Amino acid sequence: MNAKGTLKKSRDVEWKEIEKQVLLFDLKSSNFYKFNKTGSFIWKTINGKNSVNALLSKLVQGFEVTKAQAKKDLAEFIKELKEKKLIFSK
Amino acid sequence: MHETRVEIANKCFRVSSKNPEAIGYLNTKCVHFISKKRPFVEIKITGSKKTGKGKRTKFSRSNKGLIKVETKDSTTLVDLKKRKCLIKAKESMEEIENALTCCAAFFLLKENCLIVHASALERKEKGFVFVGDPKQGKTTITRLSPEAKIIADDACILKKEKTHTTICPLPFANKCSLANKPTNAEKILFIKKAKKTTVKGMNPMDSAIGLFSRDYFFIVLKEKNLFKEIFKKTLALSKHFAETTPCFELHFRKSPEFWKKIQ
Repeated sequence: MNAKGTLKKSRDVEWKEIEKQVLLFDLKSSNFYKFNKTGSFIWKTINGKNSVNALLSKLVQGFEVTKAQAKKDLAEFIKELKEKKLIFSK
Repeated sequence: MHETRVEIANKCFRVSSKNPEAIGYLNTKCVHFISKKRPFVEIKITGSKKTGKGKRTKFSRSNKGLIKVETKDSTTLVDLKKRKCLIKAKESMEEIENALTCCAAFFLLKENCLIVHASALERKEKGFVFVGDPKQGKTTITRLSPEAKIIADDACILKKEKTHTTICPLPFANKCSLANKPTNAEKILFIKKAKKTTVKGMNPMDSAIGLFSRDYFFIVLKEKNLFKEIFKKTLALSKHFAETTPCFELHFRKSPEFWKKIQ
């Protein structure tokens, strides 16, 4: 994962925030995804401008978590989103 | 040319055809929905010589922005800008009703309405929506409630209001015993057949998914990424309905006792 690289949401997804959690619908696969509060925070921060490093900083600031733990969680989450083609590297 | 005007969710649809039987049928079927209002949408029905090839409903878009819906026995062209529809169908009332439902779904979406696969009842002036897959008891519930008025036995319209949701009947491909008026939605119940009747609260997230996945477009539009803007709207509306109306999971045993649990 390139820490300076940026991420962009796929055009084939529609999402809404319901009670501070993101509900995402993938138009290509017709799958639904429900993100927890951390996942929802990351998803909302992905905007094609924030670098992965910036996402990490925001995550550490927003949640009571160590940088190492946040880095691990973020990497796993990004990997999963990429595998499902919900985001891609810009 | 023969014509009738049918009012659905406060919008008037003028349906015209050279075939007096089709209009006569609609006048009888939609007796509570006949309107004198200025038409919101013009629908023209003509005959079709389709050969009946293919089973799946196919949706496509022309360069001019028209939506084309093709089934085994009909072709429907929807012009959302001019608010016009052309239905070319064989003389089957079932086929015509399905095409009319399709037209209504497209035009009512603009008016913040979703057609949901659900039955709905008005009981003591309160509206109850029963959402569920086939054979889970949606129609049975309407039969077990003689004191309630049937808003719809298979598909109803949910309409977004500022702070709440209303339920409207849909006269096509559906049984309605209620005059055409909106009813405030008191509860939305996701029904599942069970050995014992129980009612459990649902969170808005799961309720929104439940409503979204039983919306007309979710069921009929297979290539979802071709109609992105439709799903953007249906997701937003599902969220509104789930947030403004209490939703429950109803495990349902075939007995009129279920009302005690619901209320």
